[in-house]
Amino acid sequence: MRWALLACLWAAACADDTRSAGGDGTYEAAVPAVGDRLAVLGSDYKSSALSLLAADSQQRVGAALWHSGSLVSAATTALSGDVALGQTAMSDGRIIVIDRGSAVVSFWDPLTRAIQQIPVSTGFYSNPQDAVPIDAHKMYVVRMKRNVQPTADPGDFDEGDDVLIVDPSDGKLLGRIDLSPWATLPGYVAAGSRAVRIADRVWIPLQSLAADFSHQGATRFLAIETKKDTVIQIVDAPSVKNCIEMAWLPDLQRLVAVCPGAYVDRAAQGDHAGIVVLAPGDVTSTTTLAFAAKDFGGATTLGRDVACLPGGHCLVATPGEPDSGTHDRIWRFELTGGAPVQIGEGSGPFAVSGMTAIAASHRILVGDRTNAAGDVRVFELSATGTVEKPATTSNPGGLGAIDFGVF
Amino acid sequence: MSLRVRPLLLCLFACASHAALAADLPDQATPSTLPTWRLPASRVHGRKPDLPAAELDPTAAANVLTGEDLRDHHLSIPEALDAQAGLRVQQLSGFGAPALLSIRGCSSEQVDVYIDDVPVLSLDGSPLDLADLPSGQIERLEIYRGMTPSALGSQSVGGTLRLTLRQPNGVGGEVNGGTGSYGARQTEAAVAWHSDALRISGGIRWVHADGDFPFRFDNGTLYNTSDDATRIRQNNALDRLGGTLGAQWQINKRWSLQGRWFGAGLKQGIPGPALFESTTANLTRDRQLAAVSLLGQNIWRQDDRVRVSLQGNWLGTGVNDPHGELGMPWQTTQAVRTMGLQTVWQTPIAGVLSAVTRLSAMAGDVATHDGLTGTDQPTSSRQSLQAGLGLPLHWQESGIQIVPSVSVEAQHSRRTTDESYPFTTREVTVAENALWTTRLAAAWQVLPWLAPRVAWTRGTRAPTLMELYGNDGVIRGNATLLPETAMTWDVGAGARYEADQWTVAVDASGFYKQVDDLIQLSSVNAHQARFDNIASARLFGVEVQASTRLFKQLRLVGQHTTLVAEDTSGRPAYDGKALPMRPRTRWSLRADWLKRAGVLAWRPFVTGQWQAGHFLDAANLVAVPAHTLVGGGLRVEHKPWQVFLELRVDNALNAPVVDLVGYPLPGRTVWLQLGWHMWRDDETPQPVETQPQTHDIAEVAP
Repeated sequence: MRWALLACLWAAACADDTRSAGGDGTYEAAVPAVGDRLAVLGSDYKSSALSLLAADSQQRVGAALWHSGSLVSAATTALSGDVALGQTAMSDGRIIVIDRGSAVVSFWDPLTRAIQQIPVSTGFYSNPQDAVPIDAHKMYVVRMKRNVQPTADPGDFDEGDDVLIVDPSDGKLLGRIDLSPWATLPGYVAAGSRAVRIADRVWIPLQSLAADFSHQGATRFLAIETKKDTVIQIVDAPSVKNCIEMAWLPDLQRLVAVCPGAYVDRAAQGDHAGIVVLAPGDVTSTTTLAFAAKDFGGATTLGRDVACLPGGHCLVATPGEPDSGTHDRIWRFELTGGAPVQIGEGSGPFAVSGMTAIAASHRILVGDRTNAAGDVRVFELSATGTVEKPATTSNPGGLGAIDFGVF
Repeated sequence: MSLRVRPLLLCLFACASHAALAADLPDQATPSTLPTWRLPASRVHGRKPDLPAAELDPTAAANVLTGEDLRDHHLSIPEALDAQAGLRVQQLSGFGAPALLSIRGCSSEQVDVYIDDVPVLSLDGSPLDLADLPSGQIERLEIYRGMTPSALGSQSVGGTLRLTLRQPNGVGGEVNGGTGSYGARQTEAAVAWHSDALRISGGIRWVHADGDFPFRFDNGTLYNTSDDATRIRQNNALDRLGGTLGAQWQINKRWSLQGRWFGAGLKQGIPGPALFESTTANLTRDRQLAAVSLLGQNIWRQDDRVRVSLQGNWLGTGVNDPHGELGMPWQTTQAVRTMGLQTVWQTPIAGVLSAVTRLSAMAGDVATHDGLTGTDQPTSSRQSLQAGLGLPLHWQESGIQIVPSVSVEAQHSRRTTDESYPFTTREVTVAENALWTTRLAAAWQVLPWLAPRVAWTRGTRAPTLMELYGNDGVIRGNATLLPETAMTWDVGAGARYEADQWTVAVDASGFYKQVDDLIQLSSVNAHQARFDNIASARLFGVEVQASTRLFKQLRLVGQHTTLVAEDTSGRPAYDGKALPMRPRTRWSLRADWLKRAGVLAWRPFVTGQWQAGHFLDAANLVAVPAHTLVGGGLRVEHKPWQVFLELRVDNALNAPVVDLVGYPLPGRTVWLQLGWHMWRDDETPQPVETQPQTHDIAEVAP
């Protein structure tokens, strides 16, 4: 009895919160087949967690299967707070995680939980934005940051502001495609963003930022031919700035890009914010400003995500304003024309982040990270209307969704 | 700019605090019996109480450190405070690095700081960098956990650090210097002189550290150890240069005038996260503080005391990262200018009742210049008025004290322009705050060796100008913020027992605190964050501090802290989880052995600290394990020559310690220190013990 009491006292005196911490999450259902794996990234921009759903049914497969605390060292964590998911699937169904904070591209196998990692920093904070697998031995990594102090050796590929070419099988660096010459203003950082692969071309929007972020040029879309690793086509979009994400519509052969406008020029941000549409197959193509930001209820900017279903049914969000308590709003717009229609409201300001289209079920999933009813909101779109289906909670009691990827 | 660099920059900016300094009359003393600069005889093996009581409020849970303790053990202020019950100090790097104080799990922004009883004003919210403070020029440190004495100011949320600088009473000087691992060097000197009516003292301190310690570099690929390597931390050097100057003029028997100046300069590299170390990014900070105090006694009533202090301070901070090694290129300088006037009058009223009244006014602004664009950022400013009243009751015979107090404050804050750069919408915004705080506490000297106490406190913290108006873009402002409020319930007792061969003193406290409208920085996206009243928290715990002397030669000092800090915000991802960076339990122990041999005194010592594992993020995903730190050393003193030599080893077991992922701390370090005192042992009056509870105990030395 006395020893039991002493043991209790000792346990209380040396209590440790982390002893009750859970490890990586457990599977609640079988891992879906390749192509039906919906990776959901939850984050509060301080730490991150990767959960898995079935893309078609939105059934949760496992919550927080890999997260920031899965492994921790003095220098890094398994996942930093600044993470994104790849937007192009790998043929083997592994999930591509781009850790912008640590400049590492990881491939996570949901079947075995094996993790392969490729550092793409080349010695500096390169801020990778996307990773596009080309084949089993070639992958493009879009790096936004320019290295102001590169070495003289061009063979170490440490210049940045480029597309780094790596072999995903062994992590070997194969080369780089310099994006700097393609910035729309001389000397600016081209600052490539999230990419879309269309057949043998990879399309990348360039943000054209001044080195000190004090000014931003107009957007340019650039296509890289994947066999020759050269820029083969450019399309300028002089009416918009800061285009971040694109959605590809194979049936219409159109690329839809969302452009929130220049944050650095807040007063005029709305003048350069909107939705533009490209016809990548047309070599003489220029962009069409399909919608200005003000078409979405008078907004002065847009969210950074866009998702479209066949037929040109698309969703985009407009951010709320914390000072006034205005919530984010979710809008539907049609490429065929007509005024955008608000179909929902986010759970708060800056709550809506991440969109992906599931063509088979005519659904677009929207991340709403603080939504109590579920952070993965489901909108079923048809020609006649929009129905919101019950939301799914990707990570109960954990970090809400900010990005999606289908693998 | 990615938020990955924000923790560092915030911490560095947080260290760029404003402070004010004044020499004034300790509340329990008179101008002619100010606590004095102790002479070497008492400093080496003085008559020291084991757990000195707080001077200003016997009902408080408090930690007290004397300058003798700091100098005898050659402890920096961060090191000394980190070993106290209920306190924790966080450092981003090694020797001399910025250090922030947390009391009872409250952040450093929630801790009020007073230097010589004049408040350190923090308009932009930066807490005091403890490493700015020169331990060699400290007379006394008092930390009031969860409260603020009514003679100082309104009740804070976290607690109060009261720092008293050495008073100019001796004649002579001292100098000491040391060197240690990773280029650590420090030199400190002090001089003092006095005549019948005038006393002058000054001190200077220089600190340098290369900070080039090794750490394990994983290349960001934690699952691939083949590319791991040991690297040397770079761009982590720092230099500090600071000093104090004080003067006291006894005008007549009733009035005296005191003046103080305190300056502290810092220049250091900002190394960046270990994964992407910088080469040129750097921080500079220059703090200039001055105060003049008029002190009086028996002015309007017998035994009353009055203090009128005028303070001014200037704090300049520069962050220089022209190449954007930490994210976005950045080159800003910030100036914080503050003026304050404070009047405190303490007087007996009738019988057991006395009164403490306090009036203060403050005005200041924060101006920022962007060096990259050559533009001046919008200026923020604040004016405030504060009034406080305490009505302590003290029944001498029964030993019961009841201390009620109340304070009100009105603040007016505004930003002067709507220009913005970059990323930020700014409006000409006025924020008005009316704050009130109160406290009711009681203590009872039940037995000569036992004194229990109980207290209830309502404290507040007004949003800072940084929180209201943001910075140059990465942090958005929120002019609608409400003040944080905290309700704290305290119970505790101090006990002390003496015998022939040993003494023991124990102070134990239990507390429960509910903090609402917590202002926290929340990321709105990967590039921006903003402050919101988004959280509430529940904190409770137990703190025990003990000290004992055995056989007149062995002294043991230890502490235990249990702290339960839970998020009660109701947000699904955080509710019920532990607040980050708050270990649930901590232990510290120090043992000193004194052996005299002729003119030499040998003092070997060992130190130990155990800290529980804890989370580094609010989502409770990133955990760091428990760690044990063991150290020790030997100090040799030659009393006739007044010289000492000390060798010390910290973290002898080379335990890996992480306070913040990405910012590794050094492992084992060695420190060698040599000092020389040259004081004229004249008839300078010795300090009057200013607190009845601070009884002397038997001499340690035979």
